[in-house]
Amino acid sequence: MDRVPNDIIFSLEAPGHWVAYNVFTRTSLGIDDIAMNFIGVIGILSKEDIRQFCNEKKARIWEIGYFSNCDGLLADPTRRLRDINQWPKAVEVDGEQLLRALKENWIVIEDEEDYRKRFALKQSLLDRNNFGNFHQQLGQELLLERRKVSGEWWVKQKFSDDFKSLGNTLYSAIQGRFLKEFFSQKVKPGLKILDVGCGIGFYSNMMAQSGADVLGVDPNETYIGIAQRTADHKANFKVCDVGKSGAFDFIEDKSFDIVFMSDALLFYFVSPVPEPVWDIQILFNEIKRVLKPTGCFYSVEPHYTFWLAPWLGDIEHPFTILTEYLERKYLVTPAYSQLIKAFAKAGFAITNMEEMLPDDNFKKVDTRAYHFAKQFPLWHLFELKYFRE
Amino acid sequence: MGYKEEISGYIRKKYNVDNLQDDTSLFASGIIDSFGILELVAYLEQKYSLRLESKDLIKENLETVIAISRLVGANKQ
Repeated sequence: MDRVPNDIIFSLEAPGHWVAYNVFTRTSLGIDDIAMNFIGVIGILSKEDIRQFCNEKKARIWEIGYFSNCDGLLADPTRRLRDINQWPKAVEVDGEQLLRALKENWIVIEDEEDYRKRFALKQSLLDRNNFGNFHQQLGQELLLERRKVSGEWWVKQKFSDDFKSLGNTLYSAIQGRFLKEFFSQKVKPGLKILDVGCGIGFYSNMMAQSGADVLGVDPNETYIGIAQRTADHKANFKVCDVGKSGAFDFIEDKSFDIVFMSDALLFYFVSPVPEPVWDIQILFNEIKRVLKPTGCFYSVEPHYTFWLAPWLGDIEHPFTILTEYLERKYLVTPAYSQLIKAFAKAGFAITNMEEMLPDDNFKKVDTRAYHFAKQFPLWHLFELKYFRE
Repeated sequence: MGYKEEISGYIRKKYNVDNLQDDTSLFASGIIDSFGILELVAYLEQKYSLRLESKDLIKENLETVIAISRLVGANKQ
């Protein structure tokens, strides 16, 4: 029987303009008062009632959902058009059309068991039955809707066209700003630094510019190619199967003062494909081996609420609804206990931890994003030291 | 030459496949990965001057040469 699942919240955006939002599927529909009345009696309407419902006056709906991930990983994760002035033109619908639109956006479901089963990994990027996790949804959208290669898109959404700077997004306002200051304190001329999973080497170069000798390693040949073309003279790059046993065999024992990793450890907890993740302890064993006894391991990762928290509430007074934490389906990052236990198991002790906050100047660029990031941090940094037995 | 022969010929040449049956699963056999899907869809659209709707890009329509031929046939009508 048709019903509204308990996953829906309704908000009144303006008189006669409601938003019905499924907090798990992140799908929404703008609806008018007539449609709200219809929702209120779903389940007790016969087919004839539904046919008759909008006979006298049709209901109006607005398709306000969109896949905001494609605007960049730090775009509003709520996935809906907020400003009613930007809503598309209302569509007038009869009872049957309204019910169809509500079902397409998961505001109304037919079968509770079938609906819940869909919160599972996609079996492939062509699987439209299961909702899949964050990475799969993004991959499917890029592949099938935008017809884009995800690796190329990822670089473009983060960096400027010449790869020399971060785009004017929360990446630069938080991660870039924080790390620039952090490196100015921690990175000294002559230090040897290993940037693991360096991507296109942006932070490797930033550290090299402080005078350190930096080696960036990444399994992606395209990224390393870009890194080599844009390299600072004190930064070197090498393709390397990071995470596989023996990946760092070409590196001498106890040879680096700092091992740095950013936005990479999450993939040891979250698989974008329906396959087991790699064993993070293999990676940590390699890192421990190449780190000097006095060395530090700095890990920058997305915060545990990253992209799990829709941006709700007033533009300057945000609140959110956290829909999952330990039993993860949408699954972007590990829970804190998972990450910290993995560090501890490897023998790393946490000697400092920071939650990164945005630069105040970003308030003018995107007020809602600024206030959300200030209330709900998007990244954290762990400073770790390895205590040998 | 029909769709099946043309599509089969394209896949055999593009991905160096010697033994491709019309009902071979292109995904289970590892012949085509996600990037291959992009290439295949681009080929089909150019070759047959059509635009495939994203809703049609599902496993059932792209898994085998037979399925792909059927998809092209349906979109050429």
